Amino acid sequence: MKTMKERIAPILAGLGGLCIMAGLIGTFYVVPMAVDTVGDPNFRQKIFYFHVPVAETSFIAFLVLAIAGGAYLVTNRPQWDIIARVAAEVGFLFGILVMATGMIWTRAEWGKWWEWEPRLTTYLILLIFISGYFLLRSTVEDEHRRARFAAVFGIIAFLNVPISFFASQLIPRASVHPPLLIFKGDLPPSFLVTFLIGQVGMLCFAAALMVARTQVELMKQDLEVIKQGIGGVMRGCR
Amino acid sequence: MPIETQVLYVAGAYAALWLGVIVYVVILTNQVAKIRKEIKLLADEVAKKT
Repeated sequence: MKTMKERIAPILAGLGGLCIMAGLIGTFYVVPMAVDTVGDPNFRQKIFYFHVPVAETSFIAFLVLAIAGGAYLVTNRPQWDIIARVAAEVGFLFGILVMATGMIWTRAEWGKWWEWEPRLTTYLILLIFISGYFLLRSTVEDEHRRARFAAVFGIIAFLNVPISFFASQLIPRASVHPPLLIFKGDLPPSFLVTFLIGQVGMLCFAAALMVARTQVELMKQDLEVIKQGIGGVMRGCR
Repeated sequence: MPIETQVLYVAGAYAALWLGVIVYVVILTNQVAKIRKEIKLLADEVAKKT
């Protein structure tokens, strides 16, 4: 019989899946079609309803990385290092997906795959920092030193998140990315509700992936302990 | 841009998103399967020797 701990990931994934499905229905069947500046239907704007939730989710994953890193520096407990590493991994996955969906949207909207503008460039720098995080972890052999260095690096990497988040507002003239969306009173509620449902769904799904990945790491640790224990038993049997 | 082309872009973006997630989930599932297989082999080895 599954314990509560083993049920968390499937429950979160199920909840996330339901919200994402609801968001999908809202995106394509409820939210009115946007129009572009010349009044033609702007179907490509629908990408917003999954591109932005994935981006926000990646930011939150990097926040978890920074918090877990800070917790490790304070407590020296290895569980925080595992959480930090898992958060970096899931955040990096979502970061790649943001780039992929964003590039497709950029191509559809402005006819090119990439633009060296503030939001895109700062987000790319953030992902380069996260790549550096994994590189750092692979070069340090001692567990404790690796965890400490990675914790500090993860916190530094997180500093790119607010820079990227506010980049379009800080340099609006250089930016093709829209600044932060402000939901004014005259927008139909279906826009905000659909977006928020999609956001909650993506967050639940990312949490499910983090929980599942953490459980895999803990299983690996348990396996090492079992191997060492069995090694002792085998020596005793000879 | 014709609406059909826009639909293709949106479908492509959505497909890219879920392809990435599916690849990650498959990698995770494989890792779990490997660990379980190793545990079973270890258990069999111990059972044989003891």
